[in-house]
Amino acid sequence: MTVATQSINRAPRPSSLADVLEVVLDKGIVIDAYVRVAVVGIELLTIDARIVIASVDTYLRFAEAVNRLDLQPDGQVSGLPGMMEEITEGGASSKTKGALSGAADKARDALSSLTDDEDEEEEEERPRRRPAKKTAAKRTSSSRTSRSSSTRRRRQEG
Amino acid sequence: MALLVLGVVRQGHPSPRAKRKDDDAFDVRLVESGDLAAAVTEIDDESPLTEEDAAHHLDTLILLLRDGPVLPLAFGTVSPDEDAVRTEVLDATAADLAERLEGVDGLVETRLEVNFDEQAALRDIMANDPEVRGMAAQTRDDSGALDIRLALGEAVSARLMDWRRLQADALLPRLTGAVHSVAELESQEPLQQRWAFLVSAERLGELDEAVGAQRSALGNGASVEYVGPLPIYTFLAPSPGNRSGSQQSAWGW
Repeated sequence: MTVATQSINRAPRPSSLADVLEVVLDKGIVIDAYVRVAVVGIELLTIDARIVIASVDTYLRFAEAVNRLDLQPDGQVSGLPGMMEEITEGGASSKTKGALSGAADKARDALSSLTDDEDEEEEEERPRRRPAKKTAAKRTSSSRTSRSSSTRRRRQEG
Repeated sequence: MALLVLGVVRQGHPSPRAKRKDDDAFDVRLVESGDLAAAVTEIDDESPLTEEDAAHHLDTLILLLRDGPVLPLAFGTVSPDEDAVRTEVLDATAADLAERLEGVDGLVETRLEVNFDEQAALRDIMANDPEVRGMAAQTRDDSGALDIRLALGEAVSARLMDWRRLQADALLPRLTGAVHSVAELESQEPLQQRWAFLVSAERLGELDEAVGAQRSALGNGASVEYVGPLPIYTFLAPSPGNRSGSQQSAWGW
């Protein structure tokens, strides 16, 4: 078998490590019986850092988004490149966002609902706090992998 | 040291090392027994596996897939030495593994992730859904009330998922002309749609074209990530010891 050569619009593998982990972690053939003793407890592993779609954090973001949308005439909103960037980044960061950063967001949102008047100030702030969240997401997936390894060590010693 | 067992191929499968001659750090080798061979790499069994190990695992299987069928083993399958790989991985379930290799021969998996543009979806919903418009107006009158904002957000989230479902249902038939099987993968955002496709390597070009055409048609309306060819993951039948398991894609061939 020869697999077709690379298509221009197809990537050889997922671009983010989080997506790579998603491919390999909870899938693949589990070898039965004896070898399992010397194996990472893959069966115990699930991708547990996934975002839950129905989250307070997400709801508040959508509530904010529709209001921002409604307040501005057509064309103006989608014409802002900064806004598009924010959407893309928001999607990526929430994908693997840990509980902690989610909670921090909630707190910030609740706070901003008391102090902000839905003005441009908040929109300008958003892009600046994204990088911090990405770091948190990375930490989350690292700790997940470490946990699997400690499972293995425990099993080997036992 | 221990061996991380990455995947299973047929005996005689070209060594992946031959493809990575320039890479001294690439130490994957094939351990053969009977009609089968396992791709293994040495690891320090005291250190935790990392994301890079996972990427290496997948990259190696992708490399092997160029030369023939590959069965991915669960990431983290560790064996103390080559003898154990032969007796406990390859020989123990030789018939089953050979059958599975036969089953995936000539087939590959690709994955497609479509993230629909949120602004377009929100605009559509606000234009056509008086209830959501009414709730939005309410939050503007009293923007500090958290419960009202949450109710609005929840309604919007549900509408977005419905909206995405409609788009995805329209999109899928335009993609699957050359495809053997489709599995919907769990999405992480209301506007995210993910699929895995099982396609014969020979018809991968047709799927590429279909994806390319739809990507163009969607334009700025969605971002599209298209990945492959991957070893068959989504469409693997459950492991022998796990036949009653929870995998959704028990296609059984």
